[in-house]
Amino acid sequence: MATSARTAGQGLLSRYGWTIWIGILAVLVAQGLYSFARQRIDGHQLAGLDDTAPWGLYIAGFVFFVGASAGSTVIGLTVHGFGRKDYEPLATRAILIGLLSLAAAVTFIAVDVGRIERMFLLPWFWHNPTSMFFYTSITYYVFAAILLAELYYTVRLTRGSTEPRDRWMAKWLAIMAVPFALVVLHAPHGALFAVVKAREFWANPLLPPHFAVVALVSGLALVIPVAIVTSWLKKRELVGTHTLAHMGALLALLIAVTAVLDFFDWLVFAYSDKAAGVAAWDILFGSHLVLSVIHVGGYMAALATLFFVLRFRREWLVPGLVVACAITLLAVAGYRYNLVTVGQAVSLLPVIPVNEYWPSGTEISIAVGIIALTALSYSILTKVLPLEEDAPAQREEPAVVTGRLAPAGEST
Amino acid sequence: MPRYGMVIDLERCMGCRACMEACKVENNTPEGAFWMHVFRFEEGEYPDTKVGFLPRPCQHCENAPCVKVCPVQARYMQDDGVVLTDFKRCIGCRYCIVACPYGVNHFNWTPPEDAYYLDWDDPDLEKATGGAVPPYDNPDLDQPHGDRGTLVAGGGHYDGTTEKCTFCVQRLEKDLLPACVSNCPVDVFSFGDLDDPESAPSQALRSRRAFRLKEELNTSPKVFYVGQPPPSEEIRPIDIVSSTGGQ
Amino acid sequence: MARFSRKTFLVGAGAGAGTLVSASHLVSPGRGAGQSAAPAPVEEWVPTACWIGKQDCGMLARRIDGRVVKFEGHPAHPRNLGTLCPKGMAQIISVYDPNRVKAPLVRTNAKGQTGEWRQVSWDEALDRVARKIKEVSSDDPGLILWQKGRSKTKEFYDTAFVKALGATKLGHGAYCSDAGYRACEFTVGVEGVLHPDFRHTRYLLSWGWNITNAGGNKLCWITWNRQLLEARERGVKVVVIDPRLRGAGPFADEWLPIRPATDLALALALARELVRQGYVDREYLRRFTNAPFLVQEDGFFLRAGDKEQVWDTATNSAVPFDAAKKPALVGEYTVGGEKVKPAFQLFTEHLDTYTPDWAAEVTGLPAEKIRAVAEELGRNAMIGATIEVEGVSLPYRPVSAMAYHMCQQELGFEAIRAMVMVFMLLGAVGAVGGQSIDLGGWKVEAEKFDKWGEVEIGDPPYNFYLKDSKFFPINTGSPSIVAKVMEDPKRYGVEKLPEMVILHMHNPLGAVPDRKLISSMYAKIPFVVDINAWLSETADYYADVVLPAATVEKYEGPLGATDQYVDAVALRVPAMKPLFESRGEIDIYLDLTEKAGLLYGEEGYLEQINEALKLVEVDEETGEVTRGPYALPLDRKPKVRQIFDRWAKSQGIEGGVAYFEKHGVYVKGPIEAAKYFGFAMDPPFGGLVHRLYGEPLLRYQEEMKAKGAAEIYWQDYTPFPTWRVPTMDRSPSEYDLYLISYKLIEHKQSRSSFIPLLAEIARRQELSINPKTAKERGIDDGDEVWVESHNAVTGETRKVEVQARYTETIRPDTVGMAHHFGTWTHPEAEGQGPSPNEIFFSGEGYVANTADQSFHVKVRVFKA
Repeated sequence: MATSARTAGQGLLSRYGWTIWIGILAVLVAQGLYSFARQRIDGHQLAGLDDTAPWGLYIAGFVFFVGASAGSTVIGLTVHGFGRKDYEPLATRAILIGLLSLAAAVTFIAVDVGRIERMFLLPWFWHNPTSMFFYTSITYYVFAAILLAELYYTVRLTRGSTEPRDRWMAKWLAIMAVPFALVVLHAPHGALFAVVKAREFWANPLLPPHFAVVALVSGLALVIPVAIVTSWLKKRELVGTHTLAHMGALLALLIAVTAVLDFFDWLVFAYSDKAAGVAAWDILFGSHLVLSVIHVGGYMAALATLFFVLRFRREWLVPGLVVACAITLLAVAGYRYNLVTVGQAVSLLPVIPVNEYWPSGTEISIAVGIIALTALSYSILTKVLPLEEDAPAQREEPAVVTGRLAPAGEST
Repeated sequence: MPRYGMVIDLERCMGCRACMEACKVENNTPEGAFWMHVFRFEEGEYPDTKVGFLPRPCQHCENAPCVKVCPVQARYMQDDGVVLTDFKRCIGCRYCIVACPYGVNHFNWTPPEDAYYLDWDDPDLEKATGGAVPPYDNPDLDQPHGDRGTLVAGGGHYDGTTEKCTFCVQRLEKDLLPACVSNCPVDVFSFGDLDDPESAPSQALRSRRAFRLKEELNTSPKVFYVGQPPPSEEIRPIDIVSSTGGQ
Repeated sequence: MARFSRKTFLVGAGAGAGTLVSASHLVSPGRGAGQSAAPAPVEEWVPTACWIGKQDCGMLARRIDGRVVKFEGHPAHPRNLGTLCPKGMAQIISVYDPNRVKAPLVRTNAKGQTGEWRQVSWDEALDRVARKIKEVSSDDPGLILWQKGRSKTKEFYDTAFVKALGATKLGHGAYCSDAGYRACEFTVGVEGVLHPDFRHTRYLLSWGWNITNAGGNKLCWITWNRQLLEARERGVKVVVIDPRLRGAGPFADEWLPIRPATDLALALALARELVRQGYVDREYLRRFTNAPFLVQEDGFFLRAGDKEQVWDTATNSAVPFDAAKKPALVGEYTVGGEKVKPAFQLFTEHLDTYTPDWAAEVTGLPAEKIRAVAEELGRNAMIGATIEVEGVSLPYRPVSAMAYHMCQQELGFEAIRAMVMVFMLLGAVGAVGGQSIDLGGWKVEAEKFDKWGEVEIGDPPYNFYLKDSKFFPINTGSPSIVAKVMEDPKRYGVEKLPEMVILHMHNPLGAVPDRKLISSMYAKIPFVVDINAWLSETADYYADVVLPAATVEKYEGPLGATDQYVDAVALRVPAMKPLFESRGEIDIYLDLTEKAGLLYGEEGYLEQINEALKLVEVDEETGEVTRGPYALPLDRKPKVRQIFDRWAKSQGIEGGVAYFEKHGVYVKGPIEAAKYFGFAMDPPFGGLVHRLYGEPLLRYQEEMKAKGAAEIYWQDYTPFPTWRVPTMDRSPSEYDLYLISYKLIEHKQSRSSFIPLLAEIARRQELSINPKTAKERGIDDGDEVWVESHNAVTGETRKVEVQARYTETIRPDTVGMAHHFGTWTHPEAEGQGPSPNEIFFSGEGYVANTADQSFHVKVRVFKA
C-alpha cells in the first residue's frame, strides 16, 4: 500500500536517528556559514591561498562536484536509453544528486570568487567568447534547467502519470542530459585548465575527455553508495543485487578507462624536458605523495575490490561496493585536488619562488559546510519529494486505474 | 594611436628595487602586492659565481592569456596596447592569475582598511592626513581612466578583485611616464610607442639584441629585454620578496 | 504526500539565491565607485630634500589639497637627476608613521630597561635640558658630549651649536670611513677616501665598493652608479676586490675574492709589482712628493735647518728639496759622514718581501692574478701621457679605485695609505682619469695635512676620547673608545668623563659596536638627551629626555649638492608642517640655547651661525669681525626660514630662500678643471708635498714608546705601511670564520628596518654563508644558527642567533650580516633578527691605530 508504505517511509530512520543526523549536518552547515561570514568580512586572506597559488580547495571542490553532477546523469541514460528498468528506483535520487551536486559546485565557486554579486551577472550582462569560464557559466543554467525539467517529469511519472508526453520528455531529457553533461558541461571544465599554456601540468589536450570520464566515475561512485545506504536505512532493497553488480561492473570499467588515461597522461608528462615538468614530478612524489597515492592507489584498490567481489565473493558485494565507491570518491577527490594545486605549485620562471599551498582552516570549514549543506538538502528533499519506492506499483500498466492494486512486488 | 611598450636594459639594472617602491607609492598597492617585481639571482659556484637582476612588470602581451580567459572581459586591452582591469566588473575569479605565465597579478585578499601595513587609526595623524588610508593615498586612482572611462587605476582599493601593473594609466593620460620608468636611478627603462621608430624603446631595439620572456608561449609581450641573455634555468633566486596575500 | 509543485520549488530557489546574493552584497566592502562631482583638487609640487639617506637627494613633494602623497626625484639636482633610491621613495610612509615620537618625553623609570615616559611640553623639556647644560657648563662645558650620527648641516650643528656650548663633539666617522680620511688627509692633504674621475677613467679597482647597495666615497647611492654606467659604456674595466661578490652585482669584469682584512697586503704587493715591472711616474714623485727626501739611518729626514734635503744628481750634492734640479729617487749617499737614502729607495727595499706569492698566501688570491692586476694597472696608467682638458694639458692616468667603508678595519689607516701610494707610484692622484679623493674637486686641506703631521702627544690627563694622547696620536674620535675609557679611566689617564650627552640623529645601541660596551657607557652618563624622530633603542634604555625631531618636514641646510663635476647647493624646505609636535633641529637649538643663555651676544649661537655661514668674516690673526650685510642681529631670535633667507642672499642667490622654495637646488655650474684636478691647481696640489714617507708616524711611534704606551697602540705607526697579521687572527682556531658586515640598498643604518615599505622588501637578518662551509657544519639553507665571536685580546665571547642563507657569492672562510637590524622599539622591528654590532668588539685589537672601528672579528658558526 502506497499510503502505508509512505507512512512506513516516514520512519525512514527512527525520529531520534533522523534528528541526530539532521542536527549534525545543521551544525556543520552552521560552522561553514560562520567561516563564510568571516571570509566575507576579513577577506580571502583567511584562505591559505596567495598570488602564486590562487586556486585551491574551493576550485578542487568545484570541479569535483560538477563532475559528480555530470556523472549522475548516467543513471537516467541507463533507465531511458538502455531500457534498464531495474535502475528505475534510483532515477529521482540520481537527478537530485545531479542538481544538488551542481548547486554544491556553484556554491564552491561562489565562496571562491571575490565578488559573488557580480558572478551571477555573468553570463547575462558580461561575456567573453574566448573564456571557458564564460561558457561553463552558461552551461550551469542550461544543465540546471535540463535537470529540473527531468525532475519534474520524473516526479510526475512517479506520482502515476501515464501521459505519453511525460514519459517522452523524461526519456529524451534523460538521454540528452548525458552527452550534454559530459561534452558540453564537464569537458569544458577540463578545457578550462587545458587552455592555460602557462601551466605545463595542465596544458594537455587529453584533459577535457579525461574530465568526462572522471565525471562518470565520480557520479556513479556517488549514486551507488547512496542507493545502498538508502536501502539499508529503509530496510528494503531499492535495487537488486543483480543491478548492483551491474553498476559495480560499469564503475570498474569506467575506473579502468580513467586509470589508463591517467597513466598515459603521466607517462607523457614524465618525458618533459622542461624544468616545470621535472618540478611537477618532484611535487607529485614529494610533498603531495600521500595525495598521489590516494589518487592512483585508490583507483587500483577500488578496481581490485570490485574485481574481487564481483568475481569471487558475490556475497560481499554490498559492503565491497560501498568500500570501493568510498575509495573511488577519495581517489577522484585526490586527483582533482592534485590537478588544481600541483599545476600551480610549479614555478613559472626560475626567478619566481613558489609558496607551498595547503588549505587553511577557513577553507576546510567552508568546504565541509558546503558538503554538509548538500547532504542536508538531499536528506530533506528526499523526505519531501515523491520517490520511486513510494510510487503506485503498476507504472507500466495503462493509466486507467482500477479499484484493484497489485500487491507490492519486487522489481524484475 | 600609440602602441605602448617597454625595453628593459639588463646591462644597467642594479637590482635596487626603487622601481618596486615607486610603483607601490604611485599606485597604492597593498601589503604583499608588487606589480613591478625585481628578481635577484645568482648562478654558478664559488668563485665562478654570477649575480643578475631582472625587473618584471606586467608584460602587456599583445596576445594576452589573461584577456582571453577573463569570463567577463574585465581584463581587456586598450587601443594603445595597455592591458587593464575594470574594477567595477571583475568578479575575482582569479582565472587571469593562473593563466598568466609571468605571475604579474595580485588578488586583493584583504579588505583595504586592513591592507596597508600600519594601523592608521590615530587621531593625531588624521589631523595631518584627513584620515586617508594609506596616508599617501593617491587621489588620481579613484577617478575613471582609460578607453572605457571606468575605474582601472591603482591597487588595493577594491577587495575581491584582481589587479596588476597598468603602465600607470593615470600618468599616461597626463603625458607622464610610468612611475617605475620615470624613477629609475640608472635609466634601465625605455618606454614609449613601439610603432614610432624614433621612440626610446624603438631605438633601443634597433641597436641591441632583445629577448622576451617565454617567447615560446606566443603571448607576444610588449616588454623587451636587452643587454644580457635570458636567465638560464640554473639560476637560484636570492633576496626573495614574497608576493603573497594569504596569511 | 507533500504538496510540492514546480512553482513552489522555483520560487523557493529564487528566494534563497536572492537572499544570499543581497546579504553578501551588504557585507561586501571596498571603496565606492569614483566620485567625480567634487571640485578639481589643488596640486602642488614642492621642492625638498630626502632625509632618510646621506646625500640629501633633491625631491619634489607632490601635494594634493595640502596632503603630500608622494616624493619624486628633483630633475635638476645633480646627484639624482629626478630619481630616488628605494629608501627615498619609501620614506613617505615613515613621515606619517604614528609610531614617531609625538611629543617631548621625560623618563619616569630607571635606566637600563625599556623606558616609561611622561609626555611634557616643549617648554618643560627644553628647560630641563637647558638647566643641565648650565649645570655641567659651570664646571666644564667640555663634559657635554655632543654626539651625532647623521648631521644634515654641519654649520648649524657640528660647528655653531657645539661652539656655542663649548661642548665636545664626536661624530660617527669611527664607524664610517675615517681611517681612510685620516690616511688621505695625512698623505695628500685632501679629505675623503678614494673615488675615480669617472668621466675619463678606463680601469677601475672596485675595492670593497658595494656597488649595487651603497654609496662609495662620501655619497649615498645613485650618483656614482650613474657615472659608473656611463664609464662602462666607454668600456671601463672593473676589477672587484671584495670577500663578497653580491655588492658588485653583474658589474664585475673580474672578481678577486680577497680574505677579509688583508687589503694592506694586496696593496703592498701591487706596489712592489709596479716598481718591479717599471710602472713608476718618477716625475710626479720627484716634483710633488717626499719620495726624494733623504732619510737618515734613524729613519728621520736629513735636514739642514728645518729644510729637508734631497740628493741633486745635477750637482751631485745634497740640497734643500725645493732647490733641486734633478733629485735622486734611488741610491745610497753619504752626507756629512752619515749614510742616507732617498725615501723612494727605502720604499723599494721595504716592498721587497711583499711578493705576489707572499701576498697570495695572505690574501687567498692567486699570485698570477695579483701580478696581472699590477700589470694592467701599470699599462692602463699610461705613465707620461697627457691630455688636454679645457685647454690645459694635464697628466692622463686613467686608472683609479673606489674605496670607502672597507677602510674600517684594524689596518685600515695603513691599507688606504698603501692604496693611495699605489696610485702615487702611477702618478694618478689628482690626474685626469685617475684618483680623486674629495667631492667637487681637489680641495686641499692644508690645515689638516699639517695638523696630522704635527700632533703634540701630551701627557695625562687626557680628554675622554684620548685626544693627542699616547694611545691615538692621530685620532678620529671614537665613541667606542670613550666607552672603553669610561670602563677604566685610570688605565687611560683620564680624569673627567662626560656628564651629559646630546644625541643628534644617532642610535648607538643600534649602530655601534659593540652593543654591550656602548650600553655600559650610556648607563654611566648621568644625563642623556636624544633628539630624534624615532624612539631609538638608546633612548629606550638610557635617555632622560627625548626631543622629537621632524624628518623631512623642516628647513635645513645648506646641503652640498655636487656630483663631483657640477657644483650646486640645496636646501631642505618643508613640504608640510612638522607632524605631531615634532620640530626641526635648528628650531630646537635656537630655543635650547636661548633657555641656556647661550643664544645671544658675541659668543652666542647666533654669532656662531653667522660665522659658520660666513655672514660675518673673522680675521684669524686679529680676531676682528667684519659683519656682512646679511649677518643675523645678535639680540633677537630669528625664525629658521629667515636665517636661510639671509644666507641665500649672502650667496648672491636672487630671491633668497624663496628661490629654494621654488627651485629646490641652485646649480652653480660645472667645476672647472683647474679646481678638479690636483695637477691643474696653481701651485699643483696646493703646494703640499705628498707624504710617501710618513716621517711623522715614526716620530709618533717613538714618542708613544717613550711615554710607555703598549705595543698594540704604536705598532702600526710606521713611516711606510707595514703588514702584520691582524690581532683577531690570534683567536683560537675553532673561531675559523671571518665575520664581515655590509649595507643593503633597502635600508639605512638602524633607522629604516622598521619602515614597513622597506621591511617588506628586506624583511630580516640573514647570515650569508658559503654552501660548502654550511654543509660542513650540517647547516641547511634557512636553518637557525649561532654565530659566536671571540675577542683575541680579552678572551670574551659573544653570540647571536640568526637564520643562515646560502650564497655562492662569499668566500668559504667568511660569513656576513647586514648591519641594519637588531632593533626593537618599533612594532615592525619584531622578529627581524640580530645586529652584527652585538658581536663585533671594539677597543684594542678591534680598532685601527687611529681609533677607527674595525668591522671584523673571528667567529664560529654552528647549528642552533
